[in-house]
Amino acid sequence: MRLLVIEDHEALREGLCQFLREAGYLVDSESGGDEGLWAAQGSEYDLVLLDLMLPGIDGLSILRRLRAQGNPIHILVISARDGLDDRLEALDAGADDYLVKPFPLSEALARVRAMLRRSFGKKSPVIREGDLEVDPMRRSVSRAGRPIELTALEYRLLEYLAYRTGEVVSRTEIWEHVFEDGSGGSSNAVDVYVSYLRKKLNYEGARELIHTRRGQGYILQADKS
Amino acid sequence: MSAPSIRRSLLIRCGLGISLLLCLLSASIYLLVEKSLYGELDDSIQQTAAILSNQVELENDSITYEWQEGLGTNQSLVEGALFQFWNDGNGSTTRSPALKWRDLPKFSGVDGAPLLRNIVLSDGHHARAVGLRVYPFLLEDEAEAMRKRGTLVDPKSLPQTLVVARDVEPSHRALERLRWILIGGSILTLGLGYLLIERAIKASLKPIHQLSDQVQDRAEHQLDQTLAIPEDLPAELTGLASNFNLLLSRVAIIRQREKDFIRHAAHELRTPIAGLRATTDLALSQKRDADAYAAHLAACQKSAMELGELVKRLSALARIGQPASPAVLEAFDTTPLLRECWQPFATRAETLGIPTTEPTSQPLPVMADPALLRIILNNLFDNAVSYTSDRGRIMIRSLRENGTVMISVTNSVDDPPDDLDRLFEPLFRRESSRHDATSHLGIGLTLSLEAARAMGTTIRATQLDGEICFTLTLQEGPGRNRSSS
Repeated sequence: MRLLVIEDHEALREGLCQFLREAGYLVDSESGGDEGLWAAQGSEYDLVLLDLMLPGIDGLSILRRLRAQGNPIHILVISARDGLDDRLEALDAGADDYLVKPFPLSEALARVRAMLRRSFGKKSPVIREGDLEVDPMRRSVSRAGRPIELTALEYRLLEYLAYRTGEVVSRTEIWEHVFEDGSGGSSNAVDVYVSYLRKKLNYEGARELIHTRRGQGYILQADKS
Repeated sequence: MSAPSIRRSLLIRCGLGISLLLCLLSASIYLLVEKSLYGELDDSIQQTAAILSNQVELENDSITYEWQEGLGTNQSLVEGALFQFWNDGNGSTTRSPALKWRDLPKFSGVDGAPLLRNIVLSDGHHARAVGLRVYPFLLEDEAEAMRKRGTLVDPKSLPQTLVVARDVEPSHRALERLRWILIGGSILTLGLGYLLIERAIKASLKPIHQLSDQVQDRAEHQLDQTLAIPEDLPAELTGLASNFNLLLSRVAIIRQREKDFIRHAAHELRTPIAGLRATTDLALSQKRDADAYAAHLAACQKSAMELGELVKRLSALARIGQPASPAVLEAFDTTPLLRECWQPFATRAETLGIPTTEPTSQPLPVMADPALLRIILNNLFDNAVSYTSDRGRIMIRSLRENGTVMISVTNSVDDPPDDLDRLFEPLFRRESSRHDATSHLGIGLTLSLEAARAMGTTIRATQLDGEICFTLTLQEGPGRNRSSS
């Protein structure tokens, strides 16, 4: 999952970004409104954490412009404005959630997870597909009750495929949402990591969970017809 | 000690006024009636006294009272009349038949002049009486006879005191009744008058009570809301109520200012606190090595310093314009202050490669508060250096004009805001093209504007050709006239 943090206060921005990175997310950040808007207009982000009072274009204007453009990206507003009017204005402008500063980072993380679940239509905090269980909160994976050890990149890849269970996910999408910028991966890095994942998920007698759609991408599905 | 109320004061004054008026009126009525009743009576008594005083004759060396001799002719005069003569020479007295054995009080005016007086008869009846001194008359024949006898007596040596009275018991009783009627009527009128006046005062003071109730019934959150002034409010109270509302509106402005300040302060404090919290949350979220903790501590220290600076500025903003610390305008040359304030920013501008036009070196006397002027200059210079666009410039100019000194700070900007007034709003930050602009708190210009207002002046922002100019207008101080610089 790739997140964008738009916040002008350096300590908060850096702290929030690092906390989210340590939670397993890919995080980019911007300190100004104009740069933030430009970045958010890209399609690679799953969620944006947006401050309202920014140098340049303010947060509300960014919200309104993104929604006016039909951008469906999920936006969590983080603001020092705690008035009811402020919250209503932001939510009515298109924000998906509102968090008043100061806040515990753990709450921000919980809200990010909840918003990601909502954005992929998941209700349960644990994603289940067949005998596979992915727990984004604990960042743990098990299959048929057996825990599976994954690297950070492998986990991000599996989590992204699990959130999009039943959908064909293109290699480009996987590259944008799972791989870090400048990771220096080759063009077949996605295929390589999918193969690593398959090996770790499979056990003797187990059915294949990650299927290849030639020329389209990959799909995670337990009962493939 | 409580001051007397308007109601009580009006009641007392009106009551005293009415009482005085009633007393005067009653006394006048009584005296008029008394005069009317006793006027004719007094004339009659005096007439009788005049007749009787001519009926004392000196005859055969003794006094003869003719009314006693000629009862037939004086029948009508004597019958029923009350009078008495005293011979002041030998102390003898003679009474009218109606007096029988009773005496009248003996009196007369000064030197025997007639004197009217109210007396009480021995039977207890009230009477009106006149007392006077009379002398017997002497007929020419009797005088001749006395000369012949060689015993000429001077009538003046035989003074008589005559008192004539008339029973006025019915009139006295009528007057007494009139007196009680007037007293009772006055008391009743006074009581009713008090009652009516009290009602009238109460009705007149009702609007005051209504206004008072409005004030009293205010809840805490309504303390600065203006009073609803009724259309029928008396003209005397309209001014008071309007002025009270004016006062309330000033209170409202001050309260709103306080609320805004608290809101802005809370907003401003939340972000660095959030940064501090994020840093500590992050540091404690897992075990880290010493270098990582040191980095987090450094971040915390930076946030703490930022908070300290913010609190300092918020305190300054809170203090400005408060009655406890009013601006003190004094005459001084602002040039040294301009150059002193500019010095550190000049170094920053040079480091950033921003060309600058330095402040004037000529004397520039102004009337201002040096401490407040320092706040304004520091903020304007800081903003200019922080927000000047790449390849931009900064110009600091001063100009004397019509008794004022205008200090302007101009810098190039990439994208000037559409609404320049917003620059003075708390928390508003200009778009920055330089990294250090992001550390600005967004209250510098608000602080500067408040400082200018505290000195009775203002700051205005204008823009032209990609440049933004802040101009502070100050009152010119006493000093030599110099050209602009």
